[in-house]
Amino acid sequence: MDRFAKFTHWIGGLSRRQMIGTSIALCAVLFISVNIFAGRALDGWRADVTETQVWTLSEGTETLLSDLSEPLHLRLYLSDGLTEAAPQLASYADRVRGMLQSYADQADGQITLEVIDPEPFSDAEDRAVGFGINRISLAGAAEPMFFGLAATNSTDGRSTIPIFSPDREAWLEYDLTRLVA
Amino acid sequence: MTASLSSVSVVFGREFRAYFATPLAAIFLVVFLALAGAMTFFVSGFFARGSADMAAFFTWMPWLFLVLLPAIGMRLWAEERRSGTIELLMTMPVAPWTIVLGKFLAGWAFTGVALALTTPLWITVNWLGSPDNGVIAAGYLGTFLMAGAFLAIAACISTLTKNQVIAFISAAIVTFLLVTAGLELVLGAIRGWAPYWMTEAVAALSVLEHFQRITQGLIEAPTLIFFGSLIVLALMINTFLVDLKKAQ
Repeated sequence: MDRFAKFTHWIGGLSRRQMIGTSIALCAVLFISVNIFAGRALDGWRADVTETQVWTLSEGTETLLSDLSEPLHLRLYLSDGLTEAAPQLASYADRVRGMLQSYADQADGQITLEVIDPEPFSDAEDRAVGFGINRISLAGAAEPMFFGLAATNSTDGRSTIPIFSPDREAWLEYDLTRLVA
Repeated sequence: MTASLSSVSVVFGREFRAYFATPLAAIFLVVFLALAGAMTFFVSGFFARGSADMAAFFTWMPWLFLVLLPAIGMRLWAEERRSGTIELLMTMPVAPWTIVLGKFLAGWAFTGVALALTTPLWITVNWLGSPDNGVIAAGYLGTFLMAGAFLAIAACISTLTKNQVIAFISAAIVTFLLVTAGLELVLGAIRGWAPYWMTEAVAALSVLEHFQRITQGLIEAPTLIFFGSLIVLALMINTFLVDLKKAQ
């Protein structure tokens, strides 16, 4: 009680300027805490307004993801230059990336997603080739491009999608779920 | 309560008409539409993408708004302070928050007008192909919310100075930092010395991260809360500052 009295006395002693400064600081703290809370607690509160339900996974995939027995590491090899050289692939690349993000969100931390831009002559490029990701040669671009996925588990199991072909767009979720299973 | 609301609506009406009383509105609308069009068609290659969506348009919105909204917000309070009309305004028998809210809503409505004028692009996309209109609607919602957040920040900063140029540049810097907070450019610079939670906190304040998800058709509660709370925070600080200046 004594402490409380001291506290109210301290508040009463503040000048108007100090009072306003304190209020601003408190508002800022409140803002950050509300957002951290919302980010953690309201994570699943979402509405998918896309026609093809890009952000919504089928029930089978969701069950499978929540029952994953071992951690998986997904590496999406996507060259930055690809969407510039082939703009028609841009929305497909967004979709692949979004769906992989949903997989990682649903898997309770069992899936780590890494999006890698393998630059020419880099270690990342060597590793992509090592996984068996296909090089794509485009007419307008000097360097080969990559647009594929490699999945590894904690032991030596690995599987890949060497190239995301637009022909397979309709079966994207099927292909990904088969890869993860 | 009704008295407060009517005072908000009076301030709103006065401020909204004030935009159109000067050439400011026309200049702003023309510059916004010309830049948005140029970016969409020439830089992003709207036709070359060959897909019926408005991603090429929405990608540019954070970057355009970070220049254009400080331009709308800078005059809200700096102008009143420079011309001294703030004295008159503060002697009116209305609460400061109603004036703050009225001014903000007027600027936000004006931004809404600017966005509404981009509908020809939406009509074009629908005429050329069959786009996913849900995604486009979500994109407009995200853009409008982001505009509100930027405007609230610009208005808040303009209370601090009598000089509109200073208000403009400071607001542009603050919004720039908010937009880039999630980029590797900024996070990489912080990660070296700051603890992990601080890097996470900075990344959580990123406008771009939230904006990108909503423009791809995913409306999430944290995104709505983020933009809403940013607007409320900026307007509250704005009210405090107006109150402080009134006392001086």
